[in-house]
Amino acid sequence: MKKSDESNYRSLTHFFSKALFLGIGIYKVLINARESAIFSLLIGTILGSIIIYIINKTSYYNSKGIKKIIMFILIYVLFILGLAEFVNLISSIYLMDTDKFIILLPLLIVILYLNTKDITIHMKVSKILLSLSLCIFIINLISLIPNLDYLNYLPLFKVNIKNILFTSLEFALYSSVPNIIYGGIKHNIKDYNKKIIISYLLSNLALTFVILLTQGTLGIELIDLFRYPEYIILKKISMLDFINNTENIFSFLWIFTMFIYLSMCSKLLNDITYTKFNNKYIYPIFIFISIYIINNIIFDNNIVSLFLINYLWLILLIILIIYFITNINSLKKK
Amino acid sequence: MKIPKIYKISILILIIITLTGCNTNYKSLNDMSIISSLLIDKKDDKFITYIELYKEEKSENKSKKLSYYITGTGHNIEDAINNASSLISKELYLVHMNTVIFSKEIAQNNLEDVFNYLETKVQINSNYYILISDNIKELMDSKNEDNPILGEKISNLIKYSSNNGPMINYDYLEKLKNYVSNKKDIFLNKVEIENKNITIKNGYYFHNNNLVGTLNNDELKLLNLFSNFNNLYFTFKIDNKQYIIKINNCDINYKLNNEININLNIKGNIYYADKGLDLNNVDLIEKINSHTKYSLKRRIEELLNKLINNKSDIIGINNYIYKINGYQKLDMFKDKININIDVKTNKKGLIQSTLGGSK
Amino acid sequence: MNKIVNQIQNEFKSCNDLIYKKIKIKFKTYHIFFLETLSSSDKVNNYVLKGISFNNNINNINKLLPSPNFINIKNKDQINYYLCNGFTIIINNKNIYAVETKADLDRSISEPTTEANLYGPKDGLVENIQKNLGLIKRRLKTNHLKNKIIIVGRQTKSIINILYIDNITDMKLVNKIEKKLNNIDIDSILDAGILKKILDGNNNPFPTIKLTERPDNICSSLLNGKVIILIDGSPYALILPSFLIDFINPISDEYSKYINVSFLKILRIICFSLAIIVPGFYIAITTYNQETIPIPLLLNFSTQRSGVPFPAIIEALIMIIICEILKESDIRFPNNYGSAISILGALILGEAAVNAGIVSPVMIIVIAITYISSLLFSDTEISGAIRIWRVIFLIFATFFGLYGISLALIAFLINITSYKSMYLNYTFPFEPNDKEYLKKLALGKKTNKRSSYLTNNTTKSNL
Repeated sequence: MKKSDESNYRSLTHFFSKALFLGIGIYKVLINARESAIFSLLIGTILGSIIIYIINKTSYYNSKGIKKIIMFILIYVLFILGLAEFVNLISSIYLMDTDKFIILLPLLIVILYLNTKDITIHMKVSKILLSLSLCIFIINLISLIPNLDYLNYLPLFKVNIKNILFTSLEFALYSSVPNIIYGGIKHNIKDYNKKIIISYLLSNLALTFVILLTQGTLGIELIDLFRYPEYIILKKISMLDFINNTENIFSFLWIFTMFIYLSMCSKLLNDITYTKFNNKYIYPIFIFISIYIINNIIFDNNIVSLFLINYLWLILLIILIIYFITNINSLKKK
Repeated sequence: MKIPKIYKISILILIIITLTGCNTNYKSLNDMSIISSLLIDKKDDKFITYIELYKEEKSENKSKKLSYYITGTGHNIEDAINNASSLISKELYLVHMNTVIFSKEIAQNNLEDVFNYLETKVQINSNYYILISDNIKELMDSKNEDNPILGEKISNLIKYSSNNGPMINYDYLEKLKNYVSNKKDIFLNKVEIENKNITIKNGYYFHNNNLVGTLNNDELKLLNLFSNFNNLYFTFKIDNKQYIIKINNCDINYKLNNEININLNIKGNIYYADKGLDLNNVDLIEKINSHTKYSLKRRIEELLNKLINNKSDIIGINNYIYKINGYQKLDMFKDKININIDVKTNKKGLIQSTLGGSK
Repeated sequence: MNKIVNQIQNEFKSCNDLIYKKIKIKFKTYHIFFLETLSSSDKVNNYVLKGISFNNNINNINKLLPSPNFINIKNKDQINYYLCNGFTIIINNKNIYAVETKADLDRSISEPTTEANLYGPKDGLVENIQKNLGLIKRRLKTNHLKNKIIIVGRQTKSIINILYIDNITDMKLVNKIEKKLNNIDIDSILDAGILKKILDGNNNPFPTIKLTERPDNICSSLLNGKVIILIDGSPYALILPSFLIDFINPISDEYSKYINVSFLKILRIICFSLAIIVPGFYIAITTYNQETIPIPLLLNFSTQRSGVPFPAIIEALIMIIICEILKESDIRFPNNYGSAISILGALILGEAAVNAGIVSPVMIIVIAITYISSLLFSDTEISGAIRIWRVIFLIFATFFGLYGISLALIAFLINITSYKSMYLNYTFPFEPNDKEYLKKLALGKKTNKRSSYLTNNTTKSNL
């Protein structure tokens, strides 16, 4: 069924473009651009769609040699960033006293389980999770609207233009760079560039709702204090004065987002290390070694998370530039 | 595709690790004691905390709830609570806390300690209330027949009381927002004891987070006009006869030219009128309207003068000016404020006239 | 000729039910064999013996005997097959004939026992394949309904019929099924369940083939483009391919109004998820994320749990095991023994367990909700699959809380979407979106189209 395959393929964008926002993106956008966040969002989507348009013209599906190694490193870096951020989220919200290693293990088991399946199963799972997260998102939206205060959005024009432009660049990078994963998937869909950009715009629309809601309920002064403001506003949901404190269930939205992103990264890494002789065993061993490294270097101290908050945009920019340099041949052909 | 062997080994490793009890987040219900309210006092440079805990009662009538207190002292609030928690055999569980009450001395000198401590406890459901009290120890001895738990009684008073005169339903997060912003000042309600029963009366207001003065019930009622409220009852006197107006709705408009103009549109109905006031008389009703108007205007101007003298901006006029017209450079403390009130008593109900009215 | 006679008598040496008659009429000898247990003596008399004995001028026995089914056997090896199927063998001068004289060894058509229905036809299939075919064909009076015969099983030699409608079903499906059946090499097929196990090749707990006993189910599946397999000796028919939604919604939904039925469909999906998630969710909430519970309930739970010495997971496992024991014993216990078993079960699950301090009352309610929700699904395979996933959710919840439940949910989705039922996706109306089905489900609209996933011929006549 071609139509269903296309919609599965398009549903991946929704998750890729939201994955790196958790914990870092929303906080930064609101702190730098302050009340004029909406302008940087608009400029950022336009920039992001241009970047995606160029990215989608390249493909590294059957690459060989040095190109393969470079792509492996790039996607590996994206994978580790997402993994570190995800584990930080879970250990701040759900399981505060447990070791981060214990949180990491079942996640990796489920990701490796998904790796044994075909790539069409990835896309089917992403479509089902998309419809689930849409339901949760609509419930959140409707129950948070009464808490908005319009004074939190004003004054609109007091922020330096330099800040707005810089934030829009950051926004564009955060939401469009993970889409380089698309280059490694084989497909034969017509007009896919246009369709992916449409779904990218839709997912950015949902993200703007989230950002505007956090700005409206909390106000900029409070957002300075909290690490995950998009989680704090969920505490205000109270339906019928009875269903309170359901923020842990409604945060499943973020878990689904990060999961699809991580599993697609790892599937691509698996495919890249595919060799005739030992494809089954290289990749899982590699994963477990890298977890050990992560656990002892990245999670050990707070300096790394501070570093990430300030310089993630630089890492993503470097990744983008290296990607364009290595894949410029396939761009010329098309 | 069959699952390769290495994945099965990894599942085994996971099971072995988890079964050795590495997960310390497991809290069974019996090992938790739930906190209802937190009372903080200060004595000789040391913080004393009284923590109210829910008491388990195994009886057939499960709707009975009781509570008991434990105390602890320390150099700061976190220290005091830790010392208190060493007196019970269970772990303290803060998430369902209802109220935090601290004494006036702390409000004058150590307000930032309280806010710093509360801000770090993000897991707490942010719907609790903070209040001030003059005599904290006597709060523990008060008897409350409708709800024996102090924290729940106070939070229910704020949420559900029918005449929410002195209480404005701002929970902790709103207070934190005002505390942090430099354009708006906070005010806190006060808990008082009358005949061993707890009420909420009066309040304190701050400027730059220093305690500056008190507010009484009438002034707090007027403040309510500027925020969300359900019903407000104001008493007025005309020709030595009393009448009470019940206000349902108040729309506020600001007009900023060279002066600050605040327009209030008030809609309400006459809730009670003394004998001798004929509600059928159109003239009388117009007289009532205008008398209410002037009386309210006078009261609000008095409140504003009081606030301006202490340079405290509870209502948020400066905040509003900054957000709407930042370039106007108006200031509540320097420019003139004009208040225009328009009162309409538009509902009458089933009563046509009062006793002895038409004669 | 004598050779053949002796051969047959040797093969059936210790079988006492082989009856051998030798009739000599005017220099012609007729050797007649039949198995007494499988043939009805009335028919043997009427069709064969009377016909032969009372006619003197016999040249061609074919034109003489008044039987409906008369076969001329060319191959000696088929004699065994026909004898065991209730035929009478007549041997004369190197001509071997077989006449059908089958006995009626099955029960009459009665109400189906495993599929309950308030409104709708109440006749069910029986063990005789001809009667079953008759029940189906009297509902679908069209010559497009075809059936192919395949014989499977070395000792049982069961007759298997593949039914499909010519202009609706996809021939690719039929060919694939036929190929699979022809490749079976097995000793015996005693029941439809064995064939189901062979055809359902995945190693997963979820079933992809449905068993049914009612002919109206069979007919509506045929009209939607599915393939039916009937087996001689079993009152169940197999419907292929079956999706997850077929086990949740019965086919008799079409006998009521759409609006009334859509609520029930949504309710069944909710019950399916409740039956899997509720125990794990309860444990995750009470041990890791207690903030979700409002205060009055929290205090109730903690007073109730204070008398119980076990942690919550052990309580849950004890209750689940007891409920499974009760469910299993209910199936095995004969109906005549009375209701002592249910009283025993009620005692265990009721006040006595609570007062003894083994379980808390809340746990009983939680487990009762799961079991009542799982009673909606009567198929044994589905209840087995639900049981497995319930335990997996429970284990994830005890070790990781709500985070574990989200991971288990993702793993469950991965598992379901990776199954295929005869090259078609298992999560059919949800994942490859089927507009006809979802329109019926959500909006209660009438559609007069078949779903295009199974067939190309999507137009029905006016509804």
